[in-house]
Formats: sequence, structure tokens, C-alpha cells
Amino acid sequence: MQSHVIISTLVGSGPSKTLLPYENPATGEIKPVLVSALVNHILEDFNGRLANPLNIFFPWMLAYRTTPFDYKFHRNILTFKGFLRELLKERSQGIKKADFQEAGDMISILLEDDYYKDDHEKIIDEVIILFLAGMKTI
Amino acid sequence: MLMDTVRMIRWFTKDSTLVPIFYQARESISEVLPPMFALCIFGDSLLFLNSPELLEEAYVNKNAWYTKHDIERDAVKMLVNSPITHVHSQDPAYAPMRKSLSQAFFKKKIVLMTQIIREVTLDYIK
Repeated sequence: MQSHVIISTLVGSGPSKTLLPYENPATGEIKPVLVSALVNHILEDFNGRLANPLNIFFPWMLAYRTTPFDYKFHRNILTFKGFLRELLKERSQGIKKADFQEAGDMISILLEDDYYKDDHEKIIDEVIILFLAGMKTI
Repeated sequence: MLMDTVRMIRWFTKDSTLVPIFYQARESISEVLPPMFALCIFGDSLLFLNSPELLEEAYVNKNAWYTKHDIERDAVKMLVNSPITHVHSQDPAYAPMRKSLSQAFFKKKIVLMTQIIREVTLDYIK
């Protein structure tokens, strides 16, 4: 519930109901899940990577893909980022229309901002960081 | 360092959804954490601030002197490239990012965001 609320404030209540494929990095099983569940799984898998002794003693290794788990983890991130890219493209076209109404979600707010509006990758970064901050500080 | 690291791995294996640092700190320091404490994990010594006054001092009053350790960037490099949390305080990009993001939480926008929270929560309850 908490992750669904946070993701809804970030991408909007409609898009948050989208189902996306999640590949379990431990078993390889692929199943469709809600966006919030996908990001939640990514977060859990991220914590799982932190527990890898190799990453604890050599933390700079976290930036690289070294195990099959890392590759599957990375594919899930790409799935989520792909979803955000599509949504940003769609939303930025919507903002240009005359009948556009303020939506209130974070990506719409940042798309209207002078600094962020032309760089969708920056918005994606902020959305992910805000999700992390929201999940781990409540 | 080894014991702190072992404790953290133990908390991770119990529940990977936790941020195990705080559970580990409670176990090794005290149930009620002091305003400031240090742990040796990730092959490094980490200082934790656990009081609003100290956080205000670091993030607001002395913000110009505070920046992030590379370990934070490395840990989430696969997830993000350069969000505000990873930009050095001295970087020219930091000020406009900070301004834009703080404006995103102005009252009018928060009201709209609260409506989304209300809608999603009601939908969930139904």
C-alpha cells in the first residue's frame, strides 16, 4: 500500500495501475506485477546485493554487474526506466495541449519546470531517488 | 569492522526489505540510539547523525561544506545517474536542482498531490 501511494504521487494514479514484468533475480521466474510492486522488488533486490560479502568489502563493486543476480536486477531497472520514459514522452506531449490540466504528480510537476523539462533522464533519476526516500523514511 | 559487517549480513538475511544498519546499530550500541554514532561497515568508518539539530546543522546551516561520499553514488549507480542526492554541493547544477525540487513541494502542488494520495487510498480501501 505504502509503495503504491508513493508511486502514485510520483507518476499519477492512472499509470501506477500498469502491470510490468518482474524477473525474480534469484529464481529467474517472470511475472506481471504493479509498478509499485516492481519498484519494491527492485529495492529488496538492491538490499540483497548489499548483503553480498563481495560488495560489503569492496563497495565500489556495487556499480558493476558481476553475478547473474546483478544482470536480472539490472533488467528490472531497465523495465522500470522504460516505463517512465514512455510515460514522460506521453505526458510531455499532453502538457503542450491547450486543454492540459495540472495533474499534481511529481513527473508532471518536473515536466513543467524550466530546469528539468528538457531532460527526461534527470526526471527519472529524481523519481527513483524520491521513491527510495519515501519508502525508507516513513 | 568485521563484527559490524557480520551483524549487518545477519540482519540482511533475516529480511532483505530492511535497511539493516539501524537494527545492527541498536544491537551493537543501544536500543535508543545516541544523537551521533559511528559504525565500521562497507570497508569504511561511517558517522551517523540521529538528531534533527545535528541534521539541520549538516544539511542546512553548513550545507555549503557538506557533500556526499562516493560510496553513496556507487551503491545506487545502477539505479540512477545523477539525481540531486549525488550532485556535489559545489557543482553549478546543484542550486537549480535544489530550487526546482523545493518548488515542487509548494503548498498548491502539495494539495494536488494529497488529492492523489486520497484517491489511491480510498480506492485501496474499497
